[in-house]
Amino acid sequence: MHLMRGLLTGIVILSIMVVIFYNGFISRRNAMRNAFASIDVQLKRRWDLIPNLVETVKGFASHEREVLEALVGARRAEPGSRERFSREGEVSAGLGRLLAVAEGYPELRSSEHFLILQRNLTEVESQISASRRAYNAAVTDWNNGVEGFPGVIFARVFDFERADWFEVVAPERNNVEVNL
Amino acid sequence: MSKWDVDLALASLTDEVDELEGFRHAVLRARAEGSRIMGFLIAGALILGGLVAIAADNGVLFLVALPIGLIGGAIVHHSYFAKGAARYREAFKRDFLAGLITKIEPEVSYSPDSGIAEGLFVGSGLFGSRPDRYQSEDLIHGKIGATSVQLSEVHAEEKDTRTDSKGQRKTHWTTLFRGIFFIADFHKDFRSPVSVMPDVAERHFGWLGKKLQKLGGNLQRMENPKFEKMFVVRGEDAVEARYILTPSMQDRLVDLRGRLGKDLRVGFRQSHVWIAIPNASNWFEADLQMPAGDRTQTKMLLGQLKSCFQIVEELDLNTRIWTKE
Repeated sequence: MHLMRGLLTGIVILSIMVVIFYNGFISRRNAMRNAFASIDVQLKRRWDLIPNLVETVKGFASHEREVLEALVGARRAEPGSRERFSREGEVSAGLGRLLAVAEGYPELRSSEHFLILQRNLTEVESQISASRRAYNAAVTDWNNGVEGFPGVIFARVFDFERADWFEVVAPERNNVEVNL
Repeated sequence: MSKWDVDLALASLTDEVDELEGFRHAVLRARAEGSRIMGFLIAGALILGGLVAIAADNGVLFLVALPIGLIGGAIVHHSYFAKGAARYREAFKRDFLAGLITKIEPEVSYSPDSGIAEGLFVGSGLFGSRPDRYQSEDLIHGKIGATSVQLSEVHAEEKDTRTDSKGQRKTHWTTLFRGIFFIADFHKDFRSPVSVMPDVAERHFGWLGKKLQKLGGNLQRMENPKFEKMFVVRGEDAVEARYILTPSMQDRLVDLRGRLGKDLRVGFRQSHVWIAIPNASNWFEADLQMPAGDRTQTKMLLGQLKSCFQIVEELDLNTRIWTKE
């Protein structure tokens, strides 16, 4: 009788633990997905700014064809596609080059339209950076759960795997080179 | 020459200093006169008490002199000492300090009798409970560069009434906050509030405290370990919290805490930054015993003003490269 009662108590405690850990993992995974989605939203905002920016720069510096074409080419990937994500690094590098080129054109720098676009771009870049950091914080929290004890046991049972941090891709890490 | 230079500040306010010195000497003369009157009053009361006691052959009647002397002394003290000193301090704030502030920051004004409204203090969300007694003075407000600021001294207290075993009610006043309350326009737009509070739990309970922080809800962990050790960040939106608290802003807040003390509280809401700087001493006050143009006193006042104004620069609030104008 005592054995049965002990076994039953053990099962109840274990079930409660499973539910708590499972829900904990789900809320961490949702936080991670939510953070990832917010990166996508901000990248889309940046994506939408590019045509305007290219047109504005073209009006003042049409012979900077190479820089403009590289940026337009990087943007040509299908929205929402896997390729688009992989080309974000090229877009960042292209934008950096474009803004560096703009420094050499005083008329462009004083254009109100360009200044508004530049402010919007700075805003979006800050938001992208914040979204990436939020995503990495969520990934750290998730990985702590998946790899720590006793979370590691439940993670194996439910087949939860560690996630990768958002790392800066190579073109974004490189210094912008401008030929003036 | 720096705008914080003492000699430059005094040179630009010579007329005000001369006028205040005249006033201060008048107050000191009145005090000396008050001292003489008090001396006569006490001596007169003692003689009167002595004469009454001798006439009535009753030594106890000598004690009549005591209340007469005390009441007379209180009246003289109020009219010759306290009133005069208060009037001098008011004049000093109005003429010298207000002038000094405008010389340093032309777009900033000073209202010594006003303060930050209680509603704003409560609305900052930096203190859990509403104060039962609230006082605020020395309101400094205006624009420093592109940033609108307002700051004042605040003393907020809570009432704690307890009934002891004998059924007697006793009321204690405990200070909720005393110091400088600073509000400035933040250079970025945001929607959800973020609070940056001293990390008391982790400071006292270490690892366990870190775990306990989670119970408060909406906890946001930042990447800077030094910042994380000093502050606990709460905000509903993880992305927006990081949009406000960039790595650079975290470093700036660590430095600000180093300068202003470990109990510094910072809030971000309604596109403004709200800072509570605890400080037990009474700022922006003149000493009647010091000449109006005293270098040490002016240096101290400049130091107090600089301590508040430089927050704008320290938090880089004048950089306006984002979409907010």
